Amino acid sequence: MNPFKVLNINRHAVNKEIIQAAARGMREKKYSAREIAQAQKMLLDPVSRACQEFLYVVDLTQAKERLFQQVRKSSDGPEDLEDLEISDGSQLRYLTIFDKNHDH
Amino acid sequence: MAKKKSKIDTTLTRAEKLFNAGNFLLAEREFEKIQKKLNRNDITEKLEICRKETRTIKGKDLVKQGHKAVNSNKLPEAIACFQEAEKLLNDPWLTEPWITDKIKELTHQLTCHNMDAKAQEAQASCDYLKAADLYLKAGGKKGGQGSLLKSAICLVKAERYDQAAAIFQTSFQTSFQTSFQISAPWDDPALYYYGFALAKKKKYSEALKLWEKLDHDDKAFAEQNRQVLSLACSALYNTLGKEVDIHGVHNEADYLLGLANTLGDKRWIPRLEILCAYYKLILIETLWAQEKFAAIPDLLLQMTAFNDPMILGLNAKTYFNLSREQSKFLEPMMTFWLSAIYSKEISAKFSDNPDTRQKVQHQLIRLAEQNIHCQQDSQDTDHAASYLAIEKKLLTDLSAIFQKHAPAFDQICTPQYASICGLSDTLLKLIKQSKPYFKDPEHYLETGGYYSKAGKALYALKTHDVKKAMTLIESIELSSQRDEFTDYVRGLVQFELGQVAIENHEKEYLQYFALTPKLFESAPSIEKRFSDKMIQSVDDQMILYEKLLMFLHKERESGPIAEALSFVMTQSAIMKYNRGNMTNKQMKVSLEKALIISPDNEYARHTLKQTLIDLETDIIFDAMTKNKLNKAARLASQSAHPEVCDRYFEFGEEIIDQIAGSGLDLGFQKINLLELLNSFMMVDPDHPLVATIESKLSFMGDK
Repeated sequence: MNPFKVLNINRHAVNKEIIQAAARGMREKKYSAREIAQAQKMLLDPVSRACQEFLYVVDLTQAKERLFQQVRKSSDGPEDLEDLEISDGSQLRYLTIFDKNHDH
Repeated sequence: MAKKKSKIDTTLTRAEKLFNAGNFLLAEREFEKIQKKLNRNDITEKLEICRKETRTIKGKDLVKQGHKAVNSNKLPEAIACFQEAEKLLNDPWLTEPWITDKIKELTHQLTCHNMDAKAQEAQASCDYLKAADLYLKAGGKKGGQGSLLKSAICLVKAERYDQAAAIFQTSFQTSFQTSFQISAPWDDPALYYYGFALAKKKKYSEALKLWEKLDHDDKAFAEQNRQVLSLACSALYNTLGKEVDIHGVHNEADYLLGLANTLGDKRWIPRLEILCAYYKLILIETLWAQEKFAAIPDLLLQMTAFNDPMILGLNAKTYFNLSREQSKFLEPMMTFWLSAIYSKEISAKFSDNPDTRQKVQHQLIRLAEQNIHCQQDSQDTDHAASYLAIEKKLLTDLSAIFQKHAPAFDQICTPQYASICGLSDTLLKLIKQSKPYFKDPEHYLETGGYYSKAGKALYALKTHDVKKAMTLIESIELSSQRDEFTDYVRGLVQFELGQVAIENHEKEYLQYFALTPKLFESAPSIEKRFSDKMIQSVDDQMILYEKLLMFLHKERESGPIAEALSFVMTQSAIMKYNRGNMTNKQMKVSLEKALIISPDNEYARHTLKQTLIDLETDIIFDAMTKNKLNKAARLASQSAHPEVCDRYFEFGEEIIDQIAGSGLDLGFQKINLLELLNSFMMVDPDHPLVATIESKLSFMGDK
C-alpha cells in the first residue's frame, strides 16, 4: 500500500498535512478507514516514513535538469552551425548511384 | 470418251481419299478440278467441308504465330496474327471468344509499352514531370506497380516530394501487407528515392530506416546517411522542453543512437546518449506514476550510468514492487535491495541521525523479508530468502569492518551488484587489506569468496545446490589468474561434493577430497567442524570415514584430523569385533595404531586395556581348561591388570564348583583341590578362595 497515494499527498507533506489528509480521506471514503489509519501511521513515524519514501517516491527532477542542461550545452557548440545550414534539409540532393542506367 | 471418264474417276477417287484422310487442303483442290467438270451437289457439299476445315487449320496456325510473337515481345505482329485468326475462326461452331480478349489485352499492352517508351524518352531528356505523368498513365492502364514506382521516382527528381511519397507509400503498404521481404517491383532505386522523399518531408528517421535496407558502400551515400542523421538529431533536439509523445520520441532517440553507433558518428553519439538518458528518465517517471513497473527494468538496464545511486535505488524499488505480484522478481530484487539500502548516498536521505538511519535500514530489510515470506513457496522464494540471509550478514560485516578500517570507501554492495557494476575487484582488494579484522580465516575467505569469480558457485553451495556449484566452478577457466578466494571456494565445493558422494555410497568418493588438505590448511575451522562431525558419527559410513581420514591424515598430519582418525579407527575396530569380523589380536593391533596416531585418545586406550585383559584372560582360561594350573597362575600373577587376577579366581571358583559336583572319589577331589590351592597361593595367598579350599580340604580330611 502506497500511503502517499492513499492520503493523496506529496512527499513533502508535514505531520499537520498528513492528519488533515487523513480526515479528508475519511470523508471521501475512497479508501477504507483502516487503510487511511495505516497510511497515516506509516507517515507519522519517522523511520516508517523514510521507508515509505524510499519505496514509493521517485523524484527525478534534479537528474532530469542535469541532463537537460547537458543536452542544451552539447547543442550550443560551433560545429552545430553547419547543421543549421541544412537543418531544413534543403541542401539534400538526390544521388544517382541507385539509378538503373547509372553505370551507362 | 472412256479415257476421259477414267481420268475424272481417278481424280475423284484421289480427292475422296484425301478427304477421308483429313487432308482437306489437297482434297479441296482435287474437288475443285472435278466440280468444274461434273458440277455435282455432293461435291459442292464436300468442297464446303474442305473449305471450313482449311480455314480452321489456318486460323489455329495464326494463333500459334500470335503466341510466338507475344513471347518475342513483338506486340504489333502478335495483334495482326490474332486479328487474322479471329476472321478465319468466326464460324459459330468455331467461336473462340478468348481471341477477342487477347487482342484487347495486347492492344492495351502495346499502348502502355508505347507510353512507357515515351516516358523513358521524356525521362532521358530530364522532363521528369512529363515522364512521371506518362509512367503513371502506363501504370494506371496496366495496373503495374513497376510503372507507378518509376513515376514516383520521376516525381522525386521533379521535386514533387509529397506526391512521390504518397505513391510510394500506397505501393509500399500494398506490397508489404503480409511480410516485410523486399521483392519486385520494389528494388534499390525505389527504396532510395522513397527514403529521399521522406527525408525531404522531414521524416528523417523513417528515411534512414528505409535506407538501412540498402546494401551499398558508396561514400556519397554514406555521407548522405550522416547528413540525414544530423537532420534527424537536430529535429529531435527541437523537441526538448516541448510536449511530445514520450514513447515515440524515446524510441526515435534510441534508434538514432543505435544508427550513430553503426555509422561511427562520434559527433552525435555522446549527444544522443545524453538525450536518450533524458527521455528515458521522463519515460521512467511516467511509467512509475502509472504504476507500470514491468516496463521500467529494461529502461534502467540501458542507462549508461548504471552504477549511479539514483539508478540503483530505482532498480531496488522497482523490483520490490514487481516481486509483490510475481516471485520471479525476488532474485533481481535481492541484487539491488541491500546495495541500495547500504548505499551511502541513498541511506543519507533516510535521516541525518545515524541511529535512525540504521533503524530505517533494518526496517527495509524486514520489509524485504516480509515480501519474500508472503510469496508461495517456490525455488525463487527459497533462493531469495537464502540470498537475503547471506547478503545481510555480508553487508553487516563489511559495513562494520570498512567503517573502522576503510572509511573512505563508500560503496558497500552485494556481490551480484558488484559484479554487474565492475566493483568486485575493488571490494576484493579492500577485503584483502582488512584481513586482520575478520574473526578467522574462514570468515575472511568466505566473504572474499562471494565477491570472487567463484561467487555464484558459493551461492549455489549455500543454497544446497552442490552440483550446480560444481558446474559453476568448472566453468571458471583454470588458466585465469588464481586467487585465494577462488581456490577456497573450489576446495569447499569439492569437499561438500565428496561428503554427498559418501552419503550416496559412491565408490570413487576419495577423488573429491584432493583439495581438502589445502582447504583445511587455509580454513582450520572447517577442519575442526569436520573432525568433530567424524567423532560424533556412529553410522554405517564408519569404514568410508576411516579410509577418508587416513587419506587426509597422510596429506596433513594435523591435530583434529589425527584425533578424528584415531577415534574412528577405534570405533571401526569395535564395530568389526562386535560383528565377529575381528579377533582380539587384530583389535589390539588396530588400537595400538590408533594410539600411535593420537596418543591422547582415551577411548582407544581404554578399549586397548579391555582388549588386553580379554586376551590374557583367554590364555589363562585356555591353560586352566587344559589343567595347566601353574601356567595359568603364573600368567595371572604376571598380569599388569588386576582384572585378569579377578577373572583367574572367577575361573578358579568355577573349577571348585565343578570338582564338588563331579562325583569323583574324595581322594581325587582332594588332589585336584590341592593343585588348585597351590596355584591360587602363587597368585594371591590372601584371596578368600584360598581359605575356601583350605576349609574344604580340612572338612574332607576329617572324613
